[in-house]
Amino acid sequence: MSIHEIMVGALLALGVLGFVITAVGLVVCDDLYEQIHFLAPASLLGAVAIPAAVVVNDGFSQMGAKAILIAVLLFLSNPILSHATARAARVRRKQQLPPVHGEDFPVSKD
Amino acid sequence: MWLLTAFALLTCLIGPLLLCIRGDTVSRLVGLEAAGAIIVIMLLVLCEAFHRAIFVDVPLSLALLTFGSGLVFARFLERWL
Repeated sequence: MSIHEIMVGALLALGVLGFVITAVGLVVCDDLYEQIHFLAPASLLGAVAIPAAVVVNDGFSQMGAKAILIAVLLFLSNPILSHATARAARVRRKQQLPPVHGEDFPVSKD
Repeated sequence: MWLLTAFALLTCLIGPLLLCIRGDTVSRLVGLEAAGAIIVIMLLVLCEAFHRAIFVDVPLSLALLTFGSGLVFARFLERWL
């Protein structure tokens, strides 16, 4: 087994670990905001490590370049999607985005 | 090795599936986003496993569509649904 194959295997294992963390976290956590946090390992660890394994295996071929593009897309879209989802959840629960009266977190004076 | 990884990713879909079955409406959106990320990478791994470089366009366009659909669903859940 060459060093090349070991690197590919390690990157694949790391990526799968990220997805397993996400899958287990989504099932275990009951609070919505905790579930949104558990979207991150899939899109940040898994979606970078597995395309990296493709690039190590194939080099910068057509497949490698597109794998990098997929990794960049998922990496950039995850924070935006998490923010939009959390915002939608808050607006649904509180009927508005700004802090409601008597809510227990810092509110600006003006 | 690549097929084994694809199978492991397929197994990971159980988490979002359970969330979509038992969660409330916004939790189901979270499950959809997680499932989207998993499926994009699974398709990429399958392309690599079967040496079909031409099909990498499928996960690439799916990644774009998952992003757009997540934003649209979030906006709809916020205002109208």
